[in-house]
Amino acid sequence: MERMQQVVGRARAAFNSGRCRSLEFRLQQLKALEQMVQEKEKEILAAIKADLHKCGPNAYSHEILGVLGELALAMDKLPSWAAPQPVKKNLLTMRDEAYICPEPLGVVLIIGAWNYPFVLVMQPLIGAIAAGNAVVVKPSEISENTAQLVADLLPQYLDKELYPVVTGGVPETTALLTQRFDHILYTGNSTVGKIVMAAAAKHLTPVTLELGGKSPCYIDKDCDLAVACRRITWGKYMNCGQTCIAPDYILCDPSIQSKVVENIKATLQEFYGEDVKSSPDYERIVNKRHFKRIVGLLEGQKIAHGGQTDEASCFIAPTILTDVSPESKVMEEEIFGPVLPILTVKSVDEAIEFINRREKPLALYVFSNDKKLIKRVISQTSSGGVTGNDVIMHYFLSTLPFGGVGNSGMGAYHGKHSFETFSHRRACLIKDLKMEGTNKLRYPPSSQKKVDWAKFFLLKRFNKGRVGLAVLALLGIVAAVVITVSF
Amino acid sequence: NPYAGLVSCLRAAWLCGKTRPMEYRVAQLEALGRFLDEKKQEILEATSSDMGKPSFEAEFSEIILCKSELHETLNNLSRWMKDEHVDKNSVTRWDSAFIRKDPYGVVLIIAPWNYPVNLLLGPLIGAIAAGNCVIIKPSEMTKNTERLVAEALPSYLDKDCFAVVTAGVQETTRLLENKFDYIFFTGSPSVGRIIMTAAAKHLTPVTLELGGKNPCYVSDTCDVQNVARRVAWGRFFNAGQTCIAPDYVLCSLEMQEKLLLALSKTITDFYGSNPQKSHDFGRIAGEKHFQRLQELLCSGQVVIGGETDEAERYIAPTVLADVHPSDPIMQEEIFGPILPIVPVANMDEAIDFINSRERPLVVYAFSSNNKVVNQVLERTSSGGFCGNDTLMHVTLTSLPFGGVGSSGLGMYHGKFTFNTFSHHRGCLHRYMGRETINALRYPPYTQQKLGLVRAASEVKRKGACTLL
Repeated sequence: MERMQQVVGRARAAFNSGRCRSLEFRLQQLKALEQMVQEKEKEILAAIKADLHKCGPNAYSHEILGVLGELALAMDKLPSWAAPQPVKKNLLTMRDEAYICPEPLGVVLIIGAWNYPFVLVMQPLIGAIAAGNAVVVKPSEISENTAQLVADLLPQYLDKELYPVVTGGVPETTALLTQRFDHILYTGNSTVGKIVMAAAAKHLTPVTLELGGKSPCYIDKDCDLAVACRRITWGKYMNCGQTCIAPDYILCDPSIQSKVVENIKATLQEFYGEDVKSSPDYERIVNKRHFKRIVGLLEGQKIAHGGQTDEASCFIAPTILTDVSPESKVMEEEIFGPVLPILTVKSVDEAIEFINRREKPLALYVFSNDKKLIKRVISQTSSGGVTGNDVIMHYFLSTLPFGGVGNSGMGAYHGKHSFETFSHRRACLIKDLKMEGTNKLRYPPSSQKKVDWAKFFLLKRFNKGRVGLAVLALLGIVAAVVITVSF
Repeated sequence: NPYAGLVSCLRAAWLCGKTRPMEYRVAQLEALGRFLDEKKQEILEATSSDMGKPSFEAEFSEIILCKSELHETLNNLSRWMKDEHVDKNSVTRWDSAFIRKDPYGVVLIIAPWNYPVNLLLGPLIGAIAAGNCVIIKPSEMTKNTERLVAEALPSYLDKDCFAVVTAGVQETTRLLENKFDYIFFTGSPSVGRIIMTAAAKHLTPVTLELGGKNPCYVSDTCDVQNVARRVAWGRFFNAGQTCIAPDYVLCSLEMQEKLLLALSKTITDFYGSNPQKSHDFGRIAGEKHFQRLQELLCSGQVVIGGETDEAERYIAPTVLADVHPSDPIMQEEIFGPILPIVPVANMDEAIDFINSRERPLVVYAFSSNNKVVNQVLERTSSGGFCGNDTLMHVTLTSLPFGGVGSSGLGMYHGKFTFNTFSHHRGCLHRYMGRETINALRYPPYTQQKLGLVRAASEVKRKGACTLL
């Protein structure tokens, strides 16, 4: 507890010194991060491999490429993101300066997850630094190699006081959460999400919670099944199914269920060869606890493909379940593993109803050649995000906010959205100390005339054309003169 | 759970999709406009009975400002509702990428007593505009307004989708046991914590409009009379019961003398020689607050005002001089017609003083020297900032209104209210074609594929050498 107080206290003192406010300083730190990622690429990939059995090119494209992209974007755009934004003024404030000024929040806490242990700590960190904050980083202890690496590397490249790394498990995180932060970004599950928000409530700390859920994937009869299934296979089995936006389960018409299974099987062969276990491109379950949990979900299910497991290496083969019942265990929790249940529905309406009866998911997927159908599914459901005719991909477009809704989370980040998440948008109005004329209409003693003037200034619905504005400006000047004279 | 039935009724209406079409939302908003027009007299009377609110203040703050928000919303709703198309990268070049504004579902708005109509309708306008069903909980402290809202408002709105709940502390606690899809609360930080803790149980996002002590720095170079008018107006409007009122003044001893003279003249200009008889000065909303404020009068020196009348819950427009930071009046948000002046040596001391305390809802700075105003702005942090005036930044609907730190989280007004009550859903609608490009991402993974993926997706720094 004391250690946490010290770490956070030092970060706060460092923030209060003001040194992380200048754009030059922030850009310098971001550049140093970029250097770190480039120079220590081998070490980072090795740590991820040790934690998740993920091979180099795979880990690079999932964890490093995205980070480099965010860094480049942040460094490029920071001056425009951080600049004050003038806002549209009304008649009353016509002669004033009115703008929104983005400011740092202060000391923020980032709690990472174990499934993409590097990027889920780095991407928020980039946004938090860009916004001018001090950041306490708490990587997940479950991906211990990456956690240790982050703890070793960040102090070598970044300002040690402003960006401390805290390692540890539940007791350390609990102690950390008793401290006061100015924003907390947590990636993980809903149960812990509630604990984080409750702890934040004590200090009125705003939170961004990137949680999870069961992301549904509807396959329409009218679609190119081969392509759809290949894309789904990629998204489902990457990282051995341990992806918050993996398609969790499939909804499709009973008449195409077996074709779906055939196509996925064929794709799995293409991706991982005959013997999945010996493919260097197939990962493992992160630990025994999750291994046992996922194996438990297979109980009583019709296994159409896969099902092989090996506890010693935490290996679970890519598995497909068919004719799954909505009430079964595998449909109760987020699977977070390489097990793909297929549930049959007779129509897209049934699919929509099914989705809406459940908690709002982090992602929603729909495959169809019919654009109208896709639009309908999007309009009649709710989810954190959507990709139509593919999976996962909305995550990679940083102009789209990435986050959940309802049980799958609150708030969003990526790209500029990260910068905004970690900033306070301060409304600023600077008036002239002279020009008391128009102010007089608001001072007591009151009169009906004053009420009428107030209505005029505040309620005029005006057309936004240039002529309209010019007329309005003229009216405003006339009004100011008249009021100065009569009051 | 006494409210479970009500919440599930609204949720059923929500699931039917009734509130989603734009025509529906516009109809409900226009009905709100009619409520403000047709019930104007009743609103003025209710707020007058509840807290002696002068009719000009009530008309300005409760009716006119609400209508301004309503007009802004109706003028812009179709644009706000549209999907926002976003810039794409090389991989998504041929796709459709947009942000969809989805309503949250069933939302809860809890309003405070100081501007009981404005702080209820303001958020409500945005919640309806964003397509939600709403449970509205007016403050139980202002009984007449509460009754008016509970009796009259439902007849203007669709009863299937909007409900008014009258509830005290106990009942509100029970109400909060239900799951809402968003909670919007205006009130004190201590209750804000309770609301957020209750929301955490259901992972309900919140906007908390709270409060604090809003400092008002007055530099030595300024037009003292104008400053006095603007500060007095902001402080004594609604008898000081305004979350963005200038809570205390920081200035030099020299300026304090000048200000006291100017403030004295201003108060007389505004309210006459006996403010208790003025039609333009309000009363304290409840006995508890009246007692609380009376006790605060012992801080510093009462130079102007100081008179009280318990029967009317009247506290005169009061200015206290030579107040010390450790005085009782400097320990809590005043929320009353008392203005303490805390002398400081200079601007730097004022800024340090402000920064050593919790971040307020607004920081005010008065100076004819723009540099001074900008210094205070840059070196402090607060929900909002207003230079050379008070309160006015909230009348501009293009500025977000909200706090930071213990003065709140989230923001609203104008488009920001609509955004507050919408989930911004990132949507990517891809083509089934061009599968060969996708093939780069599939296993088996090779260095070669990786090289191509890198080339396709890297964000190039402008001006970076592309030969490498």
